[in-house]
Amino acid sequence: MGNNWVAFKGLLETLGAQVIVPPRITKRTIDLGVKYSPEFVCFPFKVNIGNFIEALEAGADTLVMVGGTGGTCRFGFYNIVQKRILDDLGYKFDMIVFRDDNFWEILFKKFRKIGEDSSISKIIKAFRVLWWKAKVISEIEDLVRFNRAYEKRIGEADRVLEKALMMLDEQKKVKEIKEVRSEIKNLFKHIPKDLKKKPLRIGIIGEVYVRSEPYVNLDIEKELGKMGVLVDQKMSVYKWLKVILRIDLERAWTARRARPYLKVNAGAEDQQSIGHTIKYAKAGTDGVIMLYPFSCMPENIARGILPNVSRRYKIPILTFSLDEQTGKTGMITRLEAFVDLLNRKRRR
Amino acid sequence: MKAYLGVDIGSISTNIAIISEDAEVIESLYIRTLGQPIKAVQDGLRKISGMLTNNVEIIGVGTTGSARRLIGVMLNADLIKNEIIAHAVGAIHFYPDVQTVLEIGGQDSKIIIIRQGIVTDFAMNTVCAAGTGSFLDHQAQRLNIPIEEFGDFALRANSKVNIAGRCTVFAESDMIHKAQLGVGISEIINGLCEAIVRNYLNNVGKGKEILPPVIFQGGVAANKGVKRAFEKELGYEVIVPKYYDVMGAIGVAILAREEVKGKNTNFPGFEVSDIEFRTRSFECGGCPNNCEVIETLRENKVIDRYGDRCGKWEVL
Repeated sequence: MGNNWVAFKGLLETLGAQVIVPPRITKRTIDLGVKYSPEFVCFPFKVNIGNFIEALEAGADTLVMVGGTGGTCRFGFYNIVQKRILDDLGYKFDMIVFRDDNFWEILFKKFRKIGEDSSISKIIKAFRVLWWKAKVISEIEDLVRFNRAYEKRIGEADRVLEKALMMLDEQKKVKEIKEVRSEIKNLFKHIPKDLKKKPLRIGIIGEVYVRSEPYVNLDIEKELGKMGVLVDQKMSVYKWLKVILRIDLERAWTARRARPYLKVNAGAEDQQSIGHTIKYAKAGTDGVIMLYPFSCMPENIARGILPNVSRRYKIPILTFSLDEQTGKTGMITRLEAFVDLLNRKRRR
Repeated sequence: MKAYLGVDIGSISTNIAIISEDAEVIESLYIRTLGQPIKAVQDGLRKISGMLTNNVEIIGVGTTGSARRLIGVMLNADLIKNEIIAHAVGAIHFYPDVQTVLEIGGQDSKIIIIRQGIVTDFAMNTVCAAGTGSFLDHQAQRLNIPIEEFGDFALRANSKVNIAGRCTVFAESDMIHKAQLGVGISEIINGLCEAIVRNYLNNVGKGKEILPPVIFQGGVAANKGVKRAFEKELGYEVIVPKYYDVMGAIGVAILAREEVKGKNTNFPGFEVSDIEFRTRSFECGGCPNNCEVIETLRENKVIDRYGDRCGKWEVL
């Protein structure tokens, strides 16, 4: 998922595993995924299959998948169907499924067996590496968003992003991560910026995977950055860890806000999408963009409700349903018009 | 006389408008793109320059539509703008109090909500092209009726026939089945027009507050059947402006007028029609992405390049 591979790699390496990071998503990944997935399934499933095949080709023998608690949307069955498909293709592998209800069990039982050392202290250390790397990644992402909107030379922030991820990836200990964290912050600080600008602020909501994977969302954050927009996103692996540790009060609070419109959580981020829209509107954010995979049931529910939220709270919303397409023109047209609309609205 | 040129290059049609300094339309032209935007624009410019009197001098150029970038580079346009804003500006110019613009073009359809002369909301069809011009075109061809007469057929319908409008595949098979049952062609075409309107209002127009005056523009606005279906469904009068098919071009010409104020245009003149432009594409091969990079050449010199994800080809 986007840049978060660095965090999971950190976790598994500290545990003593040899980590094979699947090659970055490319056209080949998508082609493989589409070829071996059911036609009607949502797009993230297909990309996962492509990733897994490329990782298996590179010699992986264990696949780690993040799974839903089941029972909500199709995501709950992802890992089961994916395992079958890969089994049928003749790959030999083990699949570890991380869910929010079995996180500790996996960490302390399954992961203990990885590597030679099986002490509890190793596990704690590994978890701390994951925690800190995820935290730094979410900070880096926020810095990139900020810098893209203010930078004097377009592209500078993205160059620093690549460098920062490499720097973070190299660190093995929490102490080193903390050190490199301030170095990274410094790098961003030195990007020439025009702080007099008053950029438009747009919040991105919707399904988590398509929001965090630039290849799938056609680099929407970068495109908005080029137009001088300050993007905000409230999702990261760091957040997800907080949810598991039950110290993320914001999530429950956001769901509460959504309750007048949608009482139950039907999967994906439906309640969050609605709750965040309300929150953005109250915070004076200029607009909201919703991203979801084509045919995603829960987000479609949210999408059906959002026009009411938009009217009630007077916040413009633009939605994109994403699938295999790579033609960017249509998206750019809509983004440009949306940014124009927001600019004109602000000037009034 | 000083004038501004607006070019709207869509999937189906290429529209050109030339407006005066007071934004009066001097000449306009609607031709088919036929899948070759460069050629269509060159032919169009040649044709429209022949229609002009000698003293017209172009002092600003704007491009819009899905090929706006390609043609913008080719014409050295002063302004390249997306078609949503261009259409809104066109509509506001002729009807300053307009509140809703319905636009159905070749491959996309959009709704633009305007309040007090400012775009406040818009939507564009996202996943499918059901009910857009190209589908109507295809059906007209299949039924061997000139597309220009399609609307008149619909108006002649005596009874109501339901055609599934959700998807072109369903719509076409429904039309065929109804025809085989002996339903008259006028009724079927009218059913199709109504299905298109239903589809439009349920998808593109969903959740939007449609208030009069309602302007209907884009190529499909020529179809009287669709106009009548809109009026029936909305309960308002639907206005089809005189220049309904070139509103985007007019809009972008007006925007170009704002853009060049106090500046000189970069437009090389109508001679651009006689210069050889071509595009070519190649797969980069630098990484497994194999991005398809598209180059625009002006007499064998690369003037633009795009399509790569990483940006390494963007520098000429």
